[in-house]
Amino acid sequence: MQRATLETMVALGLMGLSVAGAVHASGFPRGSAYLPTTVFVAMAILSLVWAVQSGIAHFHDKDRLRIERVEARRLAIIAFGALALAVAIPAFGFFTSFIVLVPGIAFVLGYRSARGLAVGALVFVGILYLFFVVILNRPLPVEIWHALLA
Amino acid sequence: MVDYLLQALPLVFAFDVMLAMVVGTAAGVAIGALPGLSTTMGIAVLIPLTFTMPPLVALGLMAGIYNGAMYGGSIPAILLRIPGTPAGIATTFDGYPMAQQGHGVQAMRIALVSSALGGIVSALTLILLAPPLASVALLFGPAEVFWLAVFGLTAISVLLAENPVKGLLSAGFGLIIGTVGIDQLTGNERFTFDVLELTSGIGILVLLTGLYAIPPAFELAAKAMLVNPTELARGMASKAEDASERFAWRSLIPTWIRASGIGVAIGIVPGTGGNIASIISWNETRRAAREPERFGKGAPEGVAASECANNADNASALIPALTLGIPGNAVAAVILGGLLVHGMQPGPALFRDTAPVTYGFMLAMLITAVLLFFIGWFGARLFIYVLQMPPLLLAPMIIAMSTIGIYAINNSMFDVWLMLFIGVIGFLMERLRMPLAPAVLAVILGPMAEAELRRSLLISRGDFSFLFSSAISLILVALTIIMVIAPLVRRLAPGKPKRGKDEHPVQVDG
Repeated sequence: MQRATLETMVALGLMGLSVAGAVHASGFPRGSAYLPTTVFVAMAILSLVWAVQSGIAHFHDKDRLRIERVEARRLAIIAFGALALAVAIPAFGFFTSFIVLVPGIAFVLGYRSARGLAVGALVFVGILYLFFVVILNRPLPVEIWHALLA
Repeated sequence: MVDYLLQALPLVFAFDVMLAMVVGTAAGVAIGALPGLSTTMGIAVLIPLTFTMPPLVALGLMAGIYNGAMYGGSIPAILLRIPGTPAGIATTFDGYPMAQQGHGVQAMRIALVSSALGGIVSALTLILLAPPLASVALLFGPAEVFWLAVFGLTAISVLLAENPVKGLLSAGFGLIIGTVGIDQLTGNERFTFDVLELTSGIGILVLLTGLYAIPPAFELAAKAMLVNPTELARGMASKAEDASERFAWRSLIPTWIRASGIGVAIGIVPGTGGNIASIISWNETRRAAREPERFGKGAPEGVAASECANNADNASALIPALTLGIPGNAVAAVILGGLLVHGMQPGPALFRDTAPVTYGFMLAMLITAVLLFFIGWFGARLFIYVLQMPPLLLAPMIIAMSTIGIYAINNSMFDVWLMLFIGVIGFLMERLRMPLAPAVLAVILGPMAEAELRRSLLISRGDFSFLFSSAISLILVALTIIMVIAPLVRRLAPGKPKRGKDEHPVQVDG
């Protein structure tokens, strides 16, 4: 896909969102509406300018967005990995999730050193445990193994 | 000023602050040495960890990372021709040829000494210039402060972006983020959509970590830049004469003087950065040399010029940031966010309301520049091992560290989800070549500008002409207009080459 085409689409989408935002913000009581309404109106105008700029660029700028298959695959893995972490943390606790998912994501991404995965995960979790639990004593979600043992 | 410095001295030499500075400097060098990780990312990941610490401990850590990372970027630049940070680009010109000729260790030492000296000069300039400038800014009324915020935001948006429209849109995004929650003046809810967690607004830490920690982690995983150990070993192989002969350090003194001046001057100008400073400094040193043809082929002065200038840019970029709330570069914008987290409002009030901590931070910039020399000298081999850390393991670690850091602030999983969401937006913005710093700065300056605007209107009983009633206000309005119009005029000016598709602005994310 041409970069200019994508930018035009994003700019038009952003313009629509800005108009919607301006309408929503204009409904706030007077004093609270000034800034957000003004900003959204300005953003709508700027988005229009951006859309026109990239629309013009479409004819002479042949810059294409290239993403290699392996790069796209890794991006998808890291994005799903981040989501998996956020889902797992409340259920299993931070450290249990980290000790499983951090090396797990790295493995799926393509890092295959068993020693590196094991040592890296243990040192990483150990440092975080020391910092957040021992030093800072922050209240974190209960670890699943802790709950099971209790 | 001297009184405040004397008050800050014992604070900054306290054990916990010193420890934070040592850890921060070492972490900074490691972060800078890793291609793909930036100073901004390092600070953004670590700020949440410092949330419960005393402000000066957190600021000492940030100062260390800032100074350390700028030098750290030279290590892969010299050994592998991969600049660890954008500011290390000019170091590759002569550093890599030196390493290929068997002088890699010597090039790293030159980079280290030059970085430390540049950092020291820059920190001294900050200590000398910032207080008088702040005392002038303290005389500003609400209308002037409002226009100052508008000017700062416009300057950063226009100067940091390839296309000023994108910079201004990024600022708009930040301004809207800054309005989410209960309006402090009227008590009305804005953009909360009946979500309880949004009533207190979107925290600056959630925004900073989302924008600056998540996108680099995604990029790190996607690109998976692997370091070739053979090439690393070749770069490290030193010639025997390097160990036996004494290097003529004195020959670098004129280069250091010139490079420090260039770095400091460029750092003060908002929207520039260490990479611009280092390239200009390298070029000027080459022009002034008796044998300019040696440059680019392994001239020690080239390494010194680049590294001295990019570190000289560091503290001086904080001069407009601390005194006026206008950061010199993206790192300074993130540091402003760090100040806000610890209850310090960026701008001249820093020198009035929290003076001992502010002076302590400026001293920390000086001390970490000195510490950099010792940490870099004795830890050189260790930092080279850092280069071999697997990016595919580092990427999930950065995300994991960001999640626990953000959760620990308010014990809120909502904040974690919000950070990841903002991270995805940040990643898309970067892919669309939209600068992130204007968004961060807008979150910091937006609420301040809005409050000052309302205060002005209260004082004038709703008369908008009050905003244009002083000479300073008019100057700031004129500067803002010039800032917006200048790129337009430049594009339309006959005979000037237009920016092509392959010409990107110099990245100033440190």
